Amino acid sequence: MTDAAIPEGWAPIVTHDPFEKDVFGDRGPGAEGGTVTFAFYDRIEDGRRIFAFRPEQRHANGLGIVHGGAIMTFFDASLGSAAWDAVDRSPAVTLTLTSEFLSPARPGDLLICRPTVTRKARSVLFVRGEISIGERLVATANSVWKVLGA
Amino acid sequence: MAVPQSAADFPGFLGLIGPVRTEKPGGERWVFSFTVGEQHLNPGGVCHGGMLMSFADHVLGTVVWEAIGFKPCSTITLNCDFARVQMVGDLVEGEATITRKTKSLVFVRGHLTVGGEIALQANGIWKVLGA
Repeated sequence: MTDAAIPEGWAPIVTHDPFEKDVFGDRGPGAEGGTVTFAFYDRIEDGRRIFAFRPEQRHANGLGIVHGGAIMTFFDASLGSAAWDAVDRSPAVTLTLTSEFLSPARPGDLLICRPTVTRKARSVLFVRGEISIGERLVATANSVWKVLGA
Repeated sequence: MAVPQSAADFPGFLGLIGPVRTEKPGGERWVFSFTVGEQHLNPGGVCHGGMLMSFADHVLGTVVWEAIGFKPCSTITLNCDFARVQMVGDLVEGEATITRKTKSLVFVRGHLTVGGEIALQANGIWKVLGA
């Protein structure tokens, strides 16, 4: 991880998530015991929180394109953050996540995910999102989240 | 047919999140598994959905890959339903079955289990590249 450049306008996300710290990389210690991620960012666009992921070689598969697992982890983290924000950070878990892979992403690309909460019920949330590189759609997803204890 | 690389040598992303066991003992049936470690957890202290979906993609994708003679292929859709949470030390096993194969597409379904109980169910479509 030598290329530490942060894409202009984006802030690296501070995570408390061991798996996401491994996947997105560890830039150093952050606030309240969290870890500043290397490849996972957010910003506000038109009043909504959007997310970015800049994959590296270690996120690629044998074909040299970004592994579906890395794309789905980016969806899970981004759509989950949108769900979590919508329930004032009550614990929530993924019930189902459906992904469509439309076109390949390569190491170095800047992937942007824009999640939308489509319905918020008492105990479940519906969130959809899309990942794009510039104008090109890379993947779309639908998900349902369960608010624990609700 | 053997998988054309050793399970420990998967490059890139699978090496990052692994190790995952990928074997076909006696050439009979695939054995896919990983043991949940601290590095696979989310802040809730259970296995991260991204890890389970990545493993499911590997299990379904490897079975597809073998069915098409190890030609390059790519996931088109993958649907994952999370039935149960996993804790540190749980051995997560995976299996998959091809439901339909055409010249350019493969339909597959599978599941992940812990101690015989369903942890995740999945189905997907893979595209044979260039076909």
